This record gives sequence, structure tokens and C-alpha cells, in this order.
Amino acid sequence: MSDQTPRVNASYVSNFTGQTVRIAGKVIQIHGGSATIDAQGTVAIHLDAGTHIKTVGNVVEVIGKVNNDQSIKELFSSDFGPNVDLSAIEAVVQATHTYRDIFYDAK
Amino acid sequence: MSYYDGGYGGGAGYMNDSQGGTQASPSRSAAKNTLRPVTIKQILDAQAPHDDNTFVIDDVEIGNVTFVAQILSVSDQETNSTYKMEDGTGSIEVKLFRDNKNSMVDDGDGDGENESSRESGLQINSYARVLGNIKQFNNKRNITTQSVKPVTDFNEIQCHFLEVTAVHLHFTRGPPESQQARNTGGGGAYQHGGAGSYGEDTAMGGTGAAGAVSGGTMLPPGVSANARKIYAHLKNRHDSSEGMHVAMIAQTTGISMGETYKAVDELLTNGVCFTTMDDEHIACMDF
Repeated sequence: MSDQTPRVNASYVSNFTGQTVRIAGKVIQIHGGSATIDAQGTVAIHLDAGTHIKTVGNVVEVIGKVNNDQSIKELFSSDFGPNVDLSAIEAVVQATHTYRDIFYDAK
Repeated sequence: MSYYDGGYGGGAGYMNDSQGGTQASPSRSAAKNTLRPVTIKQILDAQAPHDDNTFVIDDVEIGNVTFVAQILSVSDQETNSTYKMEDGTGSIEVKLFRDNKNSMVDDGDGDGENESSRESGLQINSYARVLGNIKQFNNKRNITTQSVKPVTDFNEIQCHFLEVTAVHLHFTRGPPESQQARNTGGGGAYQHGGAGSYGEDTAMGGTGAAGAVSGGTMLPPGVSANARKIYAHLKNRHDSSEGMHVAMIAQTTGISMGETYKAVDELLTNGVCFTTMDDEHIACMDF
């Protein structure tokens, strides 16, 4: 597994098909083995058995692999709780891709 | 934010001083007393110009670094605990040395380990803030530290990466316009540092006074480090009204020809420099 997991939002997911990314967003719904999160757009997550995505409304960070259909297969997740500034998360995503040199190497 | 005025701004002036000098111990310790927020990728990409555990990021010497990352694994050794950590930009080993007082206390389970001294919350996969120094052994970089603290407010993660970006931009492009204005007025030390180090720099043919010269000039924000350096170089030559040849600029500043052309072009576009007797001679606007 690559060391680098670029931070993305829903609109960057399609640029990273087949790669491992980090995506943070608010949990909208959880349905058995999958969940939907809002990260400047909705993203479907295929949950891992040991998932930490358990509470609707909380902000979670998912490390996972982007499937061909733009859904994400969870490798690991963290629950950040409900009180996280989503605009700061979005600002980090933008900084990551605008000043890529200090965040990740292009594939 | 006083952060930039005194801290980073002044620091930049100082550290550029040290780049020209050879072994000047005062300036070395000045760099040692800085703390810079970084990504792990920046640590791994940092240049090591002297092979003596001094590292340079964005042409600035590094003292202490701080970062926020997730713990991948922990292994306890005799004198330290080694945390393998990653922040999405790379991964690195962090050696946390126990402080002597605590290491005397055995936790009573007979293994001589001192598990109770581990900050609660430093679990695998949790985020932690590290403050330490970059070290290199056998071509492998790691961090030695006495401080690994669990992150309890998850906004700290975002805050850290934005801070990293702001500091990176500060050193590569100069301070934002609003702060530049303030530095001209209030930042006496900053200005002095800039002027002083610049003179030394030219004499020694050293690299970049980028951060230091940016305050108090007519340069707009967003001008590259090379352009700033060339601008300062031209500005410093009061002897010539016919300008300086591009090749000469490249030679005296140590910037490659291609980069010099790019930077000069930037200065011309911004209207702070003009061409003199032909297209290759450049002079600076406010002589």
C-alpha cells in the first residue's frame, strides 16, 4: 500500500480511481454494509468489518480505495465526532491539490 | 497575528544570514531555535546540504519541526518508544525518548516497562501531535522527540495542514500583502536582517535572500523567490543606470539562465523592472 493518501472531496474522487485516498465528510446514512457521506457532494462507502462509521451526523475520515464506480472501499476510518469545522476540511482539500508539492506525488 | 511578524518573519531574516556564513555558530543556533509546522513529505523531501543532520526546506534551514499524524504502530525499546506514523503525505518513524525521571518508575508488572508513562490516547490509528528534530541514519530519516501528544480536538488536524501551507507559502512567495505593509512599518528587526544578510549574500555568492528582502519593496505578492532575489540584487547595484545583462544576473545570483529569464520576465510583467539599451539589459524601477 502506498504511503500517500491524498485528502480529497467528492469532486476529486474521479481523479483517483484505483488509488487510496482520504476523504472526510458528514455521515448521511448507514445501510448494512455501506454508508453515504457528504464531502462537498455525496460519496458511497463500502464499509469494512471494523468500521468506525457508526453514527449518522458525525464527521468521519475514511481511508479507502476508489472503485471504478467512484464509490470507496473502506480500509480504515476515524470518527471525528459532530463538532468539526467542515469548511476547514474543505480548505485542506483545496490546499492539498493547489500546493501539491508538499502533500503528494503525482501518479 | 504576531506569529508572522516576529516569529516567522524575523526568523527568515536570521536564517538567511546563516546561509552565507560558513560555520558561524550563533546563526546555527538561531535556526535550531525555530519551530516549523511540516508535512511528513516535506521531511522526507528536505535537502541535507552538509551531511551533518542540518536540513533545508524551501531554502530555509530547519530547527525543530512539528506535525500531526496517525500512529500506525508502536514498539517499546529500552530507552525509547518508536512510533511509526503517517499523515497522508508519507510515513516516518518517531523515537520518543522517555524523560529520566519517569523511566525510573517501574509499572510493577515485572517487565521493567513503564507503560503508565505513555500518554493515554496514544493508541494505534489515533492522531497525535509530534514536536521533534529530524535525524538521518543510514539514509533513513526519522524523528527524535520528547513530545508526542494525542490530538483531542480533530480541528487541530486541519489547522495543522493549513498552517503548513501558510508557512510554505510565506517562505516561497513572501508574506501576504497586508503583512508586508506592517513589516515595513513595525518590523525593524526584519528589515535589518534583510539588508544585512543581503550584502553578505552577494559577497559570498550564497543562495537566496528570498524571505528577507521581500518586506518594504514594491514587489506584489505572489512573485517567485527567484524574482525577489534578482530584484533585490538589481536594487542593490546603485552604480549602474544602464542595467545589468541577464547572463550577468544569472552568474552573480547563481540562478540558472532559464530560471533567470523566467524571473526577469515576471519582474518586467509586474512593472518593477525595465529593459535598458537592449532586451537583455535589465534595470530596477525605483533606484
